[in-house]
Amino acid sequence: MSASTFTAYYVVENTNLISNPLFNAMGLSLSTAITGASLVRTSGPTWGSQPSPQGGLGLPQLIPNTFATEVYRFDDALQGTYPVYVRIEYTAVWTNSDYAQPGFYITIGLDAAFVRQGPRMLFINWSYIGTGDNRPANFFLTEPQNCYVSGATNRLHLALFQGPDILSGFFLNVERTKDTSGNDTNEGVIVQAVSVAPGCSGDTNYPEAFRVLDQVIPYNITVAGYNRTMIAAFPQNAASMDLADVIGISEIVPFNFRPYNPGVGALLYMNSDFAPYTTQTIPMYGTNHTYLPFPDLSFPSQLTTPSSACNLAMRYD
Amino acid sequence: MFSTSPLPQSVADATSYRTWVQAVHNAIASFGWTQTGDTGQLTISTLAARGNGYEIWALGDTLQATHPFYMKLEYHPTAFGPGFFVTFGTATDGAGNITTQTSQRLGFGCRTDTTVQQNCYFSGDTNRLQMALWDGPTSNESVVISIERSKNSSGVDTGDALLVFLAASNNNGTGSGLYGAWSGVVPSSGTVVNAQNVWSAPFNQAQLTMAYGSAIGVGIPIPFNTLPYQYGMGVLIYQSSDFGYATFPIVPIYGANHNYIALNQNTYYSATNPSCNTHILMRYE
Repeated sequence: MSASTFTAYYVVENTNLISNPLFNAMGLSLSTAITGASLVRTSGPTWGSQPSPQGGLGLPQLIPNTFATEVYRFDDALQGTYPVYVRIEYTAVWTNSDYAQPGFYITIGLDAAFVRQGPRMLFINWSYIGTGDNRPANFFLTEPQNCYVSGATNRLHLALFQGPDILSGFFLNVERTKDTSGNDTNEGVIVQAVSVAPGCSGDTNYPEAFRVLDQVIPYNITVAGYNRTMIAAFPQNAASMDLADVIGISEIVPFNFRPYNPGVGALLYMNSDFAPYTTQTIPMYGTNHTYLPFPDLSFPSQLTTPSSACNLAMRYD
Repeated sequence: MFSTSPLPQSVADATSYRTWVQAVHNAIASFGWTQTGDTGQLTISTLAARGNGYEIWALGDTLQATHPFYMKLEYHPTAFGPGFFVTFGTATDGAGNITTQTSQRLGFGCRTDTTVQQNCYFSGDTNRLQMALWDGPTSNESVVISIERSKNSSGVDTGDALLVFLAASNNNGTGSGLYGAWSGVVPSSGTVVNAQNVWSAPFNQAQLTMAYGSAIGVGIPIPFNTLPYQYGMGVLIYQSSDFGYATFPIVPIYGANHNYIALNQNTYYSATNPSCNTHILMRYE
């Protein structure tokens, strides 16, 4: 297992296809981090000469195009019989001729051909550096942003562009389902994702997604709002779970019809309980793991999320 | 242990009132709880219509010697029908007061009074008490009480705390009123935070069933005293269409199968709670 941090720009060119070195450096850094976490890269571009996502091709346009695609796979003992693949597409959305926003499509597949797959999740951030006409032509160009990657042969956790000045909210957790002791099972894959807007679930105003891709039970996407929220139990009469220096956290319960045992890749905490970006040692299923709390992976009060503000912490070991 | 009794939901009729109070008393005693010697306790045979009275009970398990807990159960009618106050703590003063570690006094009850017998379910042991009073067939105003010791990660009792879950259709006219579902934890030491008006449970409200094929999911309410505690086994939550009313699902909890009864009583809506389509499973064994 591995955890790494790098800084990167996500550059979107507005005029012509340009092999922007900053975009290529970002792709290479992300690829290096994921393979360094012991996932296997099965396909993808040669970073260095890849055209960067760009605008300027008959604008405005709301439908994102794909400019580069990478596929990774788990490399654990279950991969031979219950494979898991992660496809990352680099894309951009532009709403007028002056600027564009970068993003990703991420798709989780249960086979190499992605015949059995979850939804093609769109990660786009509508926020900008500056406002109005002061928005920069090249998004994320003013300074590099912090990216965090951890994983192992059986899991992948990404928190991309988490400051210092762009708070993109790009988060992804992919891990195998667990038994009651926290051991991997072959039931399916837990997928948890966050994008600020319009949301990886494609559900405007409800940017969180939770789901299990079950090997047997069909993936449920037919119920309105199904993908909306991280489901967890929180106290309603307290803004903190810090009691006499013992700090509580909430496990995120994945669903696909029924609830599944919580994963280990992500958990929720009350936002005042942990200092941002400070590693925390938290026992899950009886074993200590390291987590990084992200102050800007937060959730609106709705449905089963708590009334008090909570944020997401990502496994970082 | 468990039992079912048809009992009137009445305090206006003295005979009916004494009947169900006696049934509650007998059930708690049968589970191995011990009524304390505190003065001022209720004499059921002389309980008047709409009268008040209390009993104080001690858990009867081996942890009671080192980590005692007591329950003061007050029979205190609402303005409309049967009602209660409950207080939990780690000691009594011998004169009917819970002392030392003391919970708030929670009041709850029914909205109507009827001598028509309703289904009442009792389940318990020396370390737990679960009651669902007047849970149908015609009344939809049941009172659900679940009390049990805190658990470790294997589901084994600890002396750390008492887990309390309540649900009722009406408050007890105190103004602070219990209405809906309440939950709390009474720790054996340290700060006691007031109960919250919710059973916090991970639940997918966007999907009105947790059944697919033969597998049916349930929701597990998490007890909080600022900190989350390991969940108890006394009560669970189910989507109303997933189990028939008054059926007896078997649910694995902490790796062992346990018997439950599907109640009519729901958990009411609140921020972290499921909607009113969700009802209570009460441990029944």
